[in-house]
Amino acid sequence: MKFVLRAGFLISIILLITGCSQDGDVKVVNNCNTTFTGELNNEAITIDPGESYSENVYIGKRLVVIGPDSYDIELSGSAWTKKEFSTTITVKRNETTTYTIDDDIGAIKLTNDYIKDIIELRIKKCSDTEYGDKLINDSHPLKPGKFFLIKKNAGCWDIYLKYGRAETEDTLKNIETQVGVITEVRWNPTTE
Amino acid sequence: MNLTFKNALAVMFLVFIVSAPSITHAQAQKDQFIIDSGISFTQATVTQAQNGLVGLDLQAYKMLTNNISLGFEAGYDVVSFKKLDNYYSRLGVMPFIIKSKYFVNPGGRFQIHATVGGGLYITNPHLDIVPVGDISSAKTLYGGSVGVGFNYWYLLIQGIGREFEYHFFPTQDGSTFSYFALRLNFSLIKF
Repeated sequence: MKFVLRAGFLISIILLITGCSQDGDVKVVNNCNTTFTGELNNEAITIDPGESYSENVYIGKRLVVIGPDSYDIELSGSAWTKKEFSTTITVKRNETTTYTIDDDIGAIKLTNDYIKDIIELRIKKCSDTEYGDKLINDSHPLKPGKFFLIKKNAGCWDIYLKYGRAETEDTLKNIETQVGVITEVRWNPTTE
Repeated sequence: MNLTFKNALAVMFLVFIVSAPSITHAQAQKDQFIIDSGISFTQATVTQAQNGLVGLDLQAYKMLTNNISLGFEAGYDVVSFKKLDNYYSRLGVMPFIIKSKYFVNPGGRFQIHATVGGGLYITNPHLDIVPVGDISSAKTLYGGSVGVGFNYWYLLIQGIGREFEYHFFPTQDGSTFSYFALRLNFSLIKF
């Protein structure tokens, strides 16, 4: 009888000990050429180009073979050279799960180097005839010294803009973009 | 790995394989009643489960034969518990299940049993923002349990025992919620 009671007690202790916490690590690597900002597991993160961010993720409780061995977390965000995205990362227990963010888009960084506001801005492919929707309008003009980022796939682009109270028009032609590259355009009609 | 119903059935099968070989006279005989009142350590085994806490359960059975009884279990089990700043995040589960218990008497005052049950599980969450095993709101769900344990009848009609019971039920998100109870029972036989 004593043996059975001792065995029962021992089994109880083993069960309590083995009903233990499970966790894993997640490592997000920013392979983009620009800074990534977003959320990982509902926490805001920023990762510089070429850097990584690691976090320990609590998975849950497990009893011997019963219980979870992985947990899904959400990663979302964007970079200047990465489209807005949201993905699920499955973190496995006792492992480091690595997720790599890569460039998938280019961008035009248009800086207003002139003394007047840009009050309208449209863009089109060089091969197209019509400009697209307004990216800037007079309710939110681009002030002098400020810049506006236009994410675009690799290709050739034309920009149409209006500026000042007189709504003077201007165009910028044949701006080339590449994936992972920020194309800098400093607009000043007096120096064109 | 969340336990699937297929795996749960396998566990149930194993429990019965282990308990099947011997058929001997149990302490309680046919047509008698057994009442078990128990206190347990209860622990969820799902994603984001925190430390378990305590469960209080009442079980009552009628002996259909000298080895098999049929009855019910009702209780309240706190299966995940965490103290936050000024808040006790906790998940309670109330099992209301029909159970059958199979007794094996290896001799003397000692008795081994295996159980299987099925019925309702009412979840009672008071959680922060993260769900525990996909449970984030009060729900009534259907599930089952398997268990093994033993009793020591220190008097003719009074005994104490230990019991391990594993509960499982599917959530509305398709995953299986599971928890175990490691119980200390006080048992009475009513003639």
